[in-house]
Amino acid sequence: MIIPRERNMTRLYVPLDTASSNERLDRSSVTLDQIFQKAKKFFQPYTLDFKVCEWWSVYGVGQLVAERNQHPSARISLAGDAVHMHSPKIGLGMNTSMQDGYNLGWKVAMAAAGIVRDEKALLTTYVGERYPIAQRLVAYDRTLFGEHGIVDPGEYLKQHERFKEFADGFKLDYPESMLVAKTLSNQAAATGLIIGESFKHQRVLGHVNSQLYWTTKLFQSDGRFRIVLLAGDVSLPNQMARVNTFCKELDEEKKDRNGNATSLLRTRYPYCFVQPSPPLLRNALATSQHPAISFLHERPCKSMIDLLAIHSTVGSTDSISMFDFPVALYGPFDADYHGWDHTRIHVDQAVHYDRYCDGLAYERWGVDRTKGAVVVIRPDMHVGWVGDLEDTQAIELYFSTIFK
Amino acid sequence: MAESLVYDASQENNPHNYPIQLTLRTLSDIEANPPPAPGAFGGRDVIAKGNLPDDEVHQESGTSGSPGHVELVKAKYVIGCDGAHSWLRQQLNYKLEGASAHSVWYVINFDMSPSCIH
Repeated sequence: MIIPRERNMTRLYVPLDTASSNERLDRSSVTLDQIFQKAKKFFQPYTLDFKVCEWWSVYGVGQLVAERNQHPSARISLAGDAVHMHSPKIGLGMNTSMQDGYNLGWKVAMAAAGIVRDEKALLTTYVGERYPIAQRLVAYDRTLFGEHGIVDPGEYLKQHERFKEFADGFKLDYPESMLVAKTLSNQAAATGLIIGESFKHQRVLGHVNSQLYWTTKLFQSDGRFRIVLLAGDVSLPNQMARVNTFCKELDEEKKDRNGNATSLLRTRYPYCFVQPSPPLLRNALATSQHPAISFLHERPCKSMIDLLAIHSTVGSTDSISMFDFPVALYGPFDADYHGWDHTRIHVDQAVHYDRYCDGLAYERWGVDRTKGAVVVIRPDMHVGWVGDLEDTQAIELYFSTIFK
Repeated sequence: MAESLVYDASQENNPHNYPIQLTLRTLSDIEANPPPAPGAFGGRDVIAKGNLPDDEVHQESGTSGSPGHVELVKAKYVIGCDGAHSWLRQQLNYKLEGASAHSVWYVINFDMSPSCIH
């Protein structure tokens, strides 16, 4: 296999013919000349030569999966190569390993913070979600690089195509769990946002501040869940009425399981993680700058649940004011510094100065531009729940299953 | 480096307890950064240090205690991201499933001679 590299370098992968030697190779005995003699044979009748070799190595590959990726107690977990071992190619091992960590990190953090109803059940979702990925990953690698590197190019392409979406981090098939609430959802409301899969990120326009955002930025990893209100056509009075009712249902105080009157959005599940203000304050003082004007000085998180909206009314940023939306989408007012929050209402609209903000997000998400939908995004940006604007009880149930 | 893992199953059902005990030993610089095999090219001095920004090169040992220092860590949770030869996986005695026969590959990065392939 040949890979063109930076600075006009070329990388060659040369399989060692293990059929001729049954013994395990002593890697320290390998020399550059030995490798090159081997490589030359592959190029016959052409010749291959070099003046500078920047780096070389030799490695053995076992295509293996550990029998478990978590202790039955859910207290001890394994991630990355400790679970799945295969050929080091196309960065798939690196990406899958980072996804392992990204799947597990927030679950352990939430369990350790003592805010979840059932720590063990939460942590065990790591097994259901990531162990089948480890098996598929190694199966994929066997298909591509199985027979000591002897691969038919046509077959290689076919297999590569078959696993393409998996290799891109989609079609992960996370099963039903407290975090992947398929039975509690109405998938038909957003046919392109599959429950359990990674969110399909799009570029959207800020309704109030005219900033362009990738949704990755909107859902940045601070451990919070996001309720994403795909508000539909908010220029229609009856649709705006649905939006109002939806926000009121989630925002207003209701009796929680402990008998206290709490708001799902604001007070029921307080933000449990340490926020970066103390070290930031020190840094800011060190540079003689008031902490309030540091670009890192963001509005502090108050709740484990964030609400934001992406509506579909094109060209409405002048005709519909932020104050026409429910206050849950721009409040509460912070009298000390931040004022109203201008960063939570967005619109799926094409802008002429950015090719990626193309106004096709609703279409890709499979959401009706008039009546919209609601999506709950987990802290790892996977879709946890999908439904309609009237399904607020299902949303409350989703969170009350997870949190204390 | 972790030297021992003790797991006390009697403590696992209370989420506030610390059922895991790990013994960690601070490695000496030579143990933490072994030189490459004889005749081989690589190792910390060539690869890792070459990619570090200046301020990190000067903190290369990066250890908190002196070599040989042993500490006991009690934990609620532990995650093993310790690679194909995972020490934690071995402590748990989890077996590996799949093809045990290793295929061996060479990999080289080089500049082709101008008249290389013709």
